[in-house]
Amino acid sequence: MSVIEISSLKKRFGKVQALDGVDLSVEAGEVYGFIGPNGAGKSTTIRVLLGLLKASEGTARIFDKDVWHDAVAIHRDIAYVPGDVNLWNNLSGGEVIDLFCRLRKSHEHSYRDELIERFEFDPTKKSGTYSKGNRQKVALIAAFSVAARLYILDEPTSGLDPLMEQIFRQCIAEAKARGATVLLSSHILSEVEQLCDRISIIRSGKIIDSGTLDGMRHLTRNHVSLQTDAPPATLAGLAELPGVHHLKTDAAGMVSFDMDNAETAAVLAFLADKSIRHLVSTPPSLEELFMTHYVSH
Amino acid sequence: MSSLLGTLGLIRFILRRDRLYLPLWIIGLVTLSVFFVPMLPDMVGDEASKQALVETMKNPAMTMMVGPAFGSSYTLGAMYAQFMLVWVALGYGIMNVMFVIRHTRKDEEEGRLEMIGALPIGRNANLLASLLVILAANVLIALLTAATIPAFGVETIDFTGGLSYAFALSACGFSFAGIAALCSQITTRARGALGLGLALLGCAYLLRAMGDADANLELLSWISPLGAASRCEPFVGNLYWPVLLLFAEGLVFSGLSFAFSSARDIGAGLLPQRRGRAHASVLLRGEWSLAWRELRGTVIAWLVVCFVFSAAYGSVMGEMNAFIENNEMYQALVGVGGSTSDITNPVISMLMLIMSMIATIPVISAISRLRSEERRGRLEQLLAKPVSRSYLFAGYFVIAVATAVLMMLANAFGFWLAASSTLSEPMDMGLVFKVTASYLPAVIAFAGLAAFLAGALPRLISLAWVFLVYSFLAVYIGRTMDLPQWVARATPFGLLPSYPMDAFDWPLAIALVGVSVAIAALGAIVYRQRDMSAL
Repeated sequence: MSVIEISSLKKRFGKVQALDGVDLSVEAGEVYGFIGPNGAGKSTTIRVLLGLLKASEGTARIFDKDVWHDAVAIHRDIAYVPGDVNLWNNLSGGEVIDLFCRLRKSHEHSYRDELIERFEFDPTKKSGTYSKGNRQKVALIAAFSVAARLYILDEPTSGLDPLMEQIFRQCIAEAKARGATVLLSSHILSEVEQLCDRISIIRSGKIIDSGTLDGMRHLTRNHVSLQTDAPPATLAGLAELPGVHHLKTDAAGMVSFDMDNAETAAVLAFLADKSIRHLVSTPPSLEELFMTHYVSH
Repeated sequence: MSSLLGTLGLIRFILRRDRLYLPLWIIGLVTLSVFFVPMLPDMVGDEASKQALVETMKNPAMTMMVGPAFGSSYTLGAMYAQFMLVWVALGYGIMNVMFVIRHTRKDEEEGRLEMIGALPIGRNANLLASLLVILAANVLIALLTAATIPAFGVETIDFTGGLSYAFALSACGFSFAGIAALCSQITTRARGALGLGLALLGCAYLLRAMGDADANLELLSWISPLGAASRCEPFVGNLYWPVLLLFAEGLVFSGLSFAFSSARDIGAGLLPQRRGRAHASVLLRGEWSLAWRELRGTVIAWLVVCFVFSAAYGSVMGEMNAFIENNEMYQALVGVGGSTSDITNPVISMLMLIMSMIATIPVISAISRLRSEERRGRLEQLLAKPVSRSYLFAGYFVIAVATAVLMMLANAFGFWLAASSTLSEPMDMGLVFKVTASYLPAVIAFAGLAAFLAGALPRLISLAWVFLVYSFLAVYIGRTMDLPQWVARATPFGLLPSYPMDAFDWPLAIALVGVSVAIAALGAIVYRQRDMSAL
């Protein structure tokens, strides 16, 4: 059974179609990355999942319960961290963390003090005086203080320094080890690349690609660079091969190009008798995948 | 003057940002200042009823409430100025305080001034720009008011008097702009600065109430900008030097705020930030306790306001009795077989009515908080926990109703305590509490209305405030003068009978509370069904 199951989800705000048929399914125990540019619909999807916004069409379920009607029941088992944490100015960070834990009707506070220490957080300051990163810590500490079945994280690390970002990654790893499920929306692609088992890319309210990072790479291009002992003219036909793009030769004789993965066999056959001395093929980074999706569509 | 560099650009920026807000305030205040002029002659009526009104306006309770009557012949103009000026000046004060804090401390708290500060713009340019805009707005309001007043062609309400009336109001308003500029240097939070500014406005009202009620304390009325404004004697003496005094006060306070502003860091205040607790107390454990924690300060502050204002009103009862004993006309009015209470009862009823409306302010404000929490994106985090929307909504409504009850208790207790201490024998406690309680259903009705708006029409929540101002004007004027009955009866306060002169109408009171709860419940139903958004 999927933990999150979204199908043909649509959300309109007046004339704006914010979500235009989103399909997404997150399995138990996986860390799921959710990426896309600003305004693509990530936060809207998450707000629908949290029962804050009512879907115009389609269904969204968590733990096989309807996200709108059974919101309160679902929320007993989830933890949420927004990208922009707004706190109550007259409460201290410690008070907010305790309040959030109590609202989740939990009496185990085992991780609270440990997390405050790991995140190097001062809980005695009034919330109004915290910086962006420190406000983010309040929500993160509250979220990880109590074990949840599902973590919904909407750009949770915005404003965190790289050291704290590492602590966050450890927290995710620990949650995963406990068997929890994580939906992580983020702009920090290295974070997603490192943490996530599967990824969905959203654009203009539609999911345009989903799957494992490896799976996505198969559908795209690898970057190939090679050197040959043969005269440059022998490679003349390379540019004409289907699936070869951006062919370049630099001053040192290094040839580089992008190759559609589907054409790998044909390209290698062409290169087989060209006295190749050295060949490197690198899969695209998530960043490159992301760019491909956004520039080419 | 490099610290003021860029002021002109910022003025244009402020005007652009407030292109709706400022005109609405200007139109609102001009209307508030003049709307009653054309209605006055009809309401005053013939000579006999005018004489009765004159006596009413000159009694100590009225003087305490609205300030003294000026001039030996009590003309319509003199009556208009006495009847309206102090209340309308409160409106000017609120506008000036809100505007200045919105453009100074609020912008600073939200981090907008930081971005402006990074531009080639002087440190104090924003403060100067805000004060210049509000000064210009005050002058514009005064000119519009002065130009409108003679157009109604009411006897003795002429241009000269209108000009004095208009500038008295605007100068008083500007003095509060200066006070607000100072407040926004003191606290680090806009909410705190606003509270402080409005509290000082309340103090100004109280100072002049004490000064006007007792000739030995008249200095207090001069210290209060509201008292100084009424001493322009519009339509009678038409004095201008109180206007100059008030503008000068505004400039002095502004000057002080520049001095403080130059000396401090951005984001800092003169009051230090206290540290908080590392752990939440056992009392902070759910959505209701969080709501209470958020509203606690407001509720306590307003309890003090209600108690102090009621006590001030109560303290006039002693003088009221002396006034009746020495006044032939009143004695004639009481007549054979009558008693003094025939005159004091309506006064108690009127004073408690006004206090009930003041008590309504924190009630609406409690429910508005539900909306502002939503707009600031805080509810999003709360509702992502196992928190039901209806439960959250009910929490704010229950706190608002409890606030209403607490305020009314403070009103009754403050009034009774002060009245008893100035009278030779203690005031009838039961009467004061019953009069106060008779208005409770109306206060609860406002809680219901605000809850309905917060739930169903969140963008229109300020309609609750508009309706409260309307109720105040309709009932305040309607109780004193002849006004078509429906004008006051369209409001919860006017709908209820004037106890103890009329019998208390239980079915009506129960129906009013019932309808209030019902519309609040309707609000809750829509609230459960709608999107939670920052819009």
